[in-house]
Amino acid sequence: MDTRTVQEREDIVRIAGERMKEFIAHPPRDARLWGIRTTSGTTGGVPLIVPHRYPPVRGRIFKERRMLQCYGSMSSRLSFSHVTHMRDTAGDSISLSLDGLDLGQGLERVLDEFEAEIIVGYPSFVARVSEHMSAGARARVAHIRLSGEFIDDSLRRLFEERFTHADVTAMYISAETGRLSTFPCGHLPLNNYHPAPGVVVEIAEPGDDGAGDILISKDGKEEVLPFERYRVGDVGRIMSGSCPCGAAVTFEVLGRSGHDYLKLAGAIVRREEVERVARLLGLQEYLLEGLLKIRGGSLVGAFELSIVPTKSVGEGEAARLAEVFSRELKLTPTRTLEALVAEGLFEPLAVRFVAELPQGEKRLPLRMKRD
Amino acid sequence: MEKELSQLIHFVREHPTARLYAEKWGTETAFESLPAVSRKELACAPMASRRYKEGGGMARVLRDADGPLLIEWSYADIAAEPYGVPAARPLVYFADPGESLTAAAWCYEHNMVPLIGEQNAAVVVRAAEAYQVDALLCDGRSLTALEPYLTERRAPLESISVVDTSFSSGALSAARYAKRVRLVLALPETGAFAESSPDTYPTFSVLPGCMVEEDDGLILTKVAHLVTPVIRYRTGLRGLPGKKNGTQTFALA
Repeated sequence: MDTRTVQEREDIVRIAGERMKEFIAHPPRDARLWGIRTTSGTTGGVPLIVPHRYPPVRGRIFKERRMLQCYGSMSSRLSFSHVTHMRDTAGDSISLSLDGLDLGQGLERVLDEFEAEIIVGYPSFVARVSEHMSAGARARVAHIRLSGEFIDDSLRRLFEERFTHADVTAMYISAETGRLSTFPCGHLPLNNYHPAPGVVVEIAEPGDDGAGDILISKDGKEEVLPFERYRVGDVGRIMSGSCPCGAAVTFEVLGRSGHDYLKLAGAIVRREEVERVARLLGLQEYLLEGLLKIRGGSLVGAFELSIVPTKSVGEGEAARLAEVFSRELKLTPTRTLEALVAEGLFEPLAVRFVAELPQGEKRLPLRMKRD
Repeated sequence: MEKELSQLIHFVREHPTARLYAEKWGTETAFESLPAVSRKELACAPMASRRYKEGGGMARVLRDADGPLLIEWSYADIAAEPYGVPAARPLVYFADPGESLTAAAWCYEHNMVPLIGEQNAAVVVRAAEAYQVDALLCDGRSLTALEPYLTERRAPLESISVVDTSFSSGALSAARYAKRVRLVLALPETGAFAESSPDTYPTFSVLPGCMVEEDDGLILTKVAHLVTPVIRYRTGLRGLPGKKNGTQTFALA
């Protein structure tokens, strides 16, 4: 058994506080090379606020110049806008950062006018935006660069169908750590990555399929915050064999581990919230799995609740459990799963009774559904 | 400014691809006779017809009852806007995320590392405490959301710049929280064009490079080569023009 220390989020929050004090005491001469990264705090934990040094890279990533950004967090939006501007030595790239509030009537015309050639952002946000794009606007998109969320088969198919002229690639980036993977090499399927220079990826307590919590080590020289075996909150595995690009290490991200929270179809499920509702219903062994589905051309979220029956919670109660669970589970500060089902954003909760939960999942009540 | 204005009008009239103003103006040549343009007319005009210069920058979607409007600003033009004042650690926090991004870009253009407010006010307060912010660049609504934090601060901020189209009692009493308070009148599509303070409100001084006329509402002209120049633009605001110490002023109604 590996007894080395694993960094948890509270360790990173403490180190970030120390680095912030140093940053304030010794402000940079060139402000443009720095940003203040704030995690949104949607996990219910303490938000992480840390100074971040941008890598001194010049030159655009893509030759195209019109970029549509689809991020939720404001610091992510600013970071991408600012870095795009800094890298743009030609001085002619233009970025449009969309907000969830923009997704309404008239957006299609606006996106036709903007003529985006590149889309970057969270997969679920990009999928929602794509519903507001005309066929012509979609056809103009040459590149889609995703990050921040697991990309399942439904999403992959949706992007392939909607953006027939675009290459769809992903990078592994988290709000706390910054960039963890290299730029896509062109040989890997989605959710597979090579570690960025200076990044070491390990898997904690891998199961039979090699999957376990992803631990990240990063020296912090390039940015500010050092990570030593930090549990980022995703499940993954190291892939065997080398890549045709020459990279020695490839890892696959399988989804959020249920360690903190799960993002799905624009909603967020907190582990504490799932546990609260489960306690209310007297559930002891259970697993809530999230998945994305395409329904009528739109992306919707869905949950499957697996329950090991007990004396007090039996198989005849599936309908009642589904009803109460949906009514109680909050997916946004004000809206429940029941409300989001009524709005057509989620499918009704599916409840099933199982003899036992998947191996190794007894301590994790929440995760993305694996194939 | 008269010469620059004349050059701007000539440039706009003769632009080969952006024809919004030329088609609106027709044969009128005298500045005073040029018909004013409204927000609705901008919304109806394709971006290509009102893009008077190419180059890098930021685009935004503005939303109101007239429907969404796409606007573009170059970074150089954002830098020239008098949104705030120099600060060591500014917090940028607007109800409109696009306004926050523009103001944060302004900070970078003036060599400041901004803290941009997330949409959760509790997170904003935690971040403001951690970053030990010394200045605030915000709109009236966000200022209200931050009042508990501002009240509990031990020391006043160096400055608060409230950038908005109207100013509530909260903005007018912001002097409790900062050594200097600026009230900056701005529309997202035009940028800033007048400035006041809680002491002089509702009288605003028109900012350099801007001209404000009254004709069934305030009509704004900015003598600047913006992506979409602002020439006799109906702001939708009302006010009574005046003059103080040689500077054009108006009392915001």
